[in-house]
Amino acid sequence: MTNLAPTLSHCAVAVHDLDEAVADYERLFGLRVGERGENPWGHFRWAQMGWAGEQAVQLIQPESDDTHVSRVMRARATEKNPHGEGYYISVWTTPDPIALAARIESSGGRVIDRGDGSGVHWVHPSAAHGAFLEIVPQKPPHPEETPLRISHLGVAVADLDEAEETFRRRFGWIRPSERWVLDSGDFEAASIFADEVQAMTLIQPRSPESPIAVEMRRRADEKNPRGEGPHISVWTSPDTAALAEGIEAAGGRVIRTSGWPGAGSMLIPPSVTHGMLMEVTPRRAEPAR
Amino acid sequence: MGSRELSALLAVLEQELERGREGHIIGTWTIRYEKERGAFSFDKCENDGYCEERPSVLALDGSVLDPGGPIVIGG
Repeated sequence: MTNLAPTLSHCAVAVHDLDEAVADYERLFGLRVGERGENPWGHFRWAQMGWAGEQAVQLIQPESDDTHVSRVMRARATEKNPHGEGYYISVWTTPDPIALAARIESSGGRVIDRGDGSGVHWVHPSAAHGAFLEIVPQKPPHPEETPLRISHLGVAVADLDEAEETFRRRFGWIRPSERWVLDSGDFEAASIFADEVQAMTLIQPRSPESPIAVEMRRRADEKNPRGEGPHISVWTSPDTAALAEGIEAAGGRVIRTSGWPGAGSMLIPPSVTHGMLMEVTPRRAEPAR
Repeated sequence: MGSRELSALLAVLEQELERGREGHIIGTWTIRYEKERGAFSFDKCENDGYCEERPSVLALDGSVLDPGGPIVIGG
């Protein structure tokens, strides 16, 4: 039986000014623009960015104020992020997106078929604890070593038991090891995997004062009353020190977190990335994706 | 802040800017004067709710009381 559990391909980041964001990602990370285009379903312009022809990240700019992307951005705008830039959707590959969509639907999750015969489906945030996902057919793994590769998402959830069960039933992701607690972040977490590839870290605040809880309260609305959703994107790099130097030399800022989750790790704050909090850890030998 | 503290803040800013990337204040969103400690707190919290860093704290004379750093440390 085919394992349908999807693995993460890339994220789309909603930005206010596509050209400016493209220039920033080029300058800070050394990324190059691949294809550009317009999305007729979502009504946004997009630019695909990578190092060696792969898609590391997609930057998207809404084409009007009356689109889903622009509504998401307006809802999270703050003084420090006045355009509400940041995570919009993550794209996941699976051997059979149609079968996976059927599985999600049969377990009560809402999916939307793109309807063009490609097999691409969108998974409504209500079906994935606040994370808007896209499932697409599997592609051959990109052979080249790149300075950054996305690994998994950290998603804030209200109840770890419930979230683990949701993602197991709908996506086939399982937790192979014990949960863990981070006292300094005041949260408990569960790492869930598709086979040997990590898909998500689920993060549950341990108290109302937890910074994760504060973030969730800020995000909560009528459609997402618990404020669940993506909190961080986690990436790997073969040389985090060189990456940090490059970002700083280009005028960006990193937060070195040598104590956790391991030597050479760092955070890249949202102001540097157009709204997406990134964690970068040293890349170890990984199974083929 | 009175004129003494404002002058001290100006000196601290100049001192830290001269240090370039090694300085402690790049990334600051809010500068707060802590009267009891006689120090300036440079807050870099970006998300209002979730803060990645504790503030850098520098005394009126420019000495570093806390260089700041990641909040999420240790396991």
